[in-house]
Amino acid sequence: MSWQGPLHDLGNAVHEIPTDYRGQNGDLRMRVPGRVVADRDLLPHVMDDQALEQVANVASLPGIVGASLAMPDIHWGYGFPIGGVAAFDAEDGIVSPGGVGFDINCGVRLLRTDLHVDGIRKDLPDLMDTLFKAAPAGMGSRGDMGLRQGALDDILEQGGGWAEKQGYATAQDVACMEDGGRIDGADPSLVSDRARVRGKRSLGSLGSGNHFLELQAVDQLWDESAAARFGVEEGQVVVMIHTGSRGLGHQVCQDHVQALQSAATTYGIDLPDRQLACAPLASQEAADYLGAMAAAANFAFVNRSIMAHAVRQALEPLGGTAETIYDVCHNIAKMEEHTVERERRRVCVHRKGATRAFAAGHEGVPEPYRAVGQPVIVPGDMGRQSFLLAASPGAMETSFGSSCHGAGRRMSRTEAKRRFGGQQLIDELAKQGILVRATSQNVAAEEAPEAYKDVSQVVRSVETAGLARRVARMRPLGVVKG
Amino acid sequence: MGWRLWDHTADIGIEATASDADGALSLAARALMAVVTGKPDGLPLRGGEHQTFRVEAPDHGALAVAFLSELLWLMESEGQLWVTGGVTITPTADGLAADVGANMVRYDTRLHGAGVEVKAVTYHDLFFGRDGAEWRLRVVLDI
Repeated sequence: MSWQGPLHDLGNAVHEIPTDYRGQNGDLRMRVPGRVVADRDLLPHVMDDQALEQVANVASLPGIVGASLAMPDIHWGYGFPIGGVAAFDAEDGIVSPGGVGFDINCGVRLLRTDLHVDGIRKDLPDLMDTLFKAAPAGMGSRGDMGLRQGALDDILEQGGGWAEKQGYATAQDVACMEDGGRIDGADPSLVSDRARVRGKRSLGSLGSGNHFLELQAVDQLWDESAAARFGVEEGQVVVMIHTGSRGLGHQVCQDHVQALQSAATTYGIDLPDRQLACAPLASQEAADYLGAMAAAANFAFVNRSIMAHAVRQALEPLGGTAETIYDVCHNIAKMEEHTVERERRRVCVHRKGATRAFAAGHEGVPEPYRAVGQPVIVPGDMGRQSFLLAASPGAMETSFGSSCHGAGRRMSRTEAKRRFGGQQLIDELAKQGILVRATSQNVAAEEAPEAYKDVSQVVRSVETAGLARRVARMRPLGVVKG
Repeated sequence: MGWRLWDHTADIGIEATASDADGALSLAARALMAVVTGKPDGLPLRGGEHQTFRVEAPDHGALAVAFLSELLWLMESEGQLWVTGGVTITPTADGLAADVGANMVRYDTRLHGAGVEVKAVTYHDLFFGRDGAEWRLRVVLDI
C-alpha cells in the first residue's frame, strides 16, 4: 500500500511533510516538518510503502530539532525508517534504540588495492573461492576467533585500537575509520551476558541478508582531485565490506528497547510506535543505552577489521595489498555540534540506514581528506554499480552532515524470491563477468539487483540536494553473500 | 486460524490467529521457524527433546516479543529449533508470564533448511489481542 499523506516540493530534490499532518490515525502531533531527499523520478518508489509515515512519527518525538529527515534510499523500517536521520537537543531531547536499529554500527569499509582489473581476471574464480572461505557468511555464521579471557572487554572499549594491536588493522586503517574506529563513552559493563555469548560466536563473520563482501573495479571518475585524495583511479580493484556488530549488537538493542518500554511511560512520552521507545538524554536509561551502544559499535569496527584482514591475506598470493579508504557507520546515535536555525547546538544525531557526511574542513574528516570532504560510500546492488562520493557543504546545512547509505530496497524479500530464481540469477551474473558466491540460493534471489532502487538515481538526488558529489563509480567483479 | 508471513520491504512480518492467546503464540513459533528454515509451509519435523522455559512481560505484546526472542536466543546459543510445543499464559504481579513446554531438535541447516538470519523481534506495528472471536498476533522480524 502506498503512502497517501501530504508532500510539498521545496525544490532541489527536497520534499516536505508539513507539521500539520496528523498521521494515519489522525492524532499525530509533529513538532517539526518531515523532509525527504528524493527527486521526482525517485519519489514514487519512496512513497511505495509506509516509510514516510515513519518519518512523520519520528517528527513527533520530544526535543527533535530542524526536521525529521529521510535520505533518498529510504524504505519502510521498524520505528524509524531505514534512511532516516533525526537530531535531538542535548537538554530537551531523547535517544531511541529504534533510531539506531538492531545491527548497531552496521557499516561499510572500502579498501583500495594496488591491483588492476585486467591483472586479476584469470585469478578471479580462485580469489572469490578464497574470500568465500575466509569470510564466514550466512545464517548464524560464526567467526570462532578463540578470544583470550578479557579480550571482549578490550574490543568493546577500544574498537579499532584493539584491532591494530592484534594485527588486524594498520594505523592507516584506524585513521580512516569514522571516529578513529572508537566511539567515545563505551562501557563494556553495560553489555549483557547474552550479548557477550552472541558476540564471541559471531566475531569475524559477515552475516546474512544484505551483508556482503564485494570485489569491484573503478570504471568512471568525476572529481579527479578528490579521487586522487581518496587514492582511486580507473581500472583499480577496490573491495567493499558490508557488515556490523552481528549478534552482540542485536542483543544490546533488544535488551535496551525492552528496558526503555517502561521509560517512555515513566517520562510521559507518547509513542506512535512502540519500537520508538526512548528516554530523555539526561536520564540514566539513556546513558546506559549510549554506553552499551558505543561498545557494540566498537565491536563492529573490529568485525570489519577482521574481514579486511582476511581480504589482505587473500590478495597476498596475487602480490596485492589493500588500504582503507574509509569505514563508515550506517546505524548509530552520536552527540555532535550542528547549526540549527543559525544557532550552534549540541544534538544527538540518529542515523539509521544513513551515513555521516562531513564536508571539507570539518575536524571529524580524516586529515588526508579534509580538503575535499569525507568519503561517502554508497553500495548499489550486486549486478549494477556502487559509488564513492565526497561530502558537500550542503550536508552540514540541511542533513546534520548526513547522506544516503545505499540503493535502498524497493521490493520485499518474498516478492524477490517469487520473481527471481537464485541459481538462474547467479548464472546470469556470471555471464556478465560477476561471480557470486552465496550460502543459499534463497539469499541470492532476495538480493537480486532489481530488488533495489537504481543507485544512480539515489546518488543523483543526493547531488541535487547538495549533500555530496560524485567522485567515482565502481562495477562489481565478484560478490560473497551470506 | 493459522499463521502467515506478510511482506515488510526489507523485513518479514508474522501473523498468527487462534481461538486463544496460548494457541496464537504457539503458531507464531511455527511461523518463526518457517522463516529461519526457509520453508514457508512449515517444518516437516518430528521428535526432539522436551524443554521448558518461562518468559515474563508487562503486557501481551511485550510477552510475544519476549517469547519469540527467547526462541531466537535458544537457536543461536544452543542451536535448538522449536518442533512442537505448548504455551500457557498466566497473570503475574507485574503483568503476564508464558510457561512454555516444547520439543526441540538440534538445528542442522542441511536437514532442516536455511532461510534468512532473523536479527531480532521488533515492537514495530505490534499487535497481540482479541480480534472478534479470535486472538491475533502480528509482529515484524528484523532481517
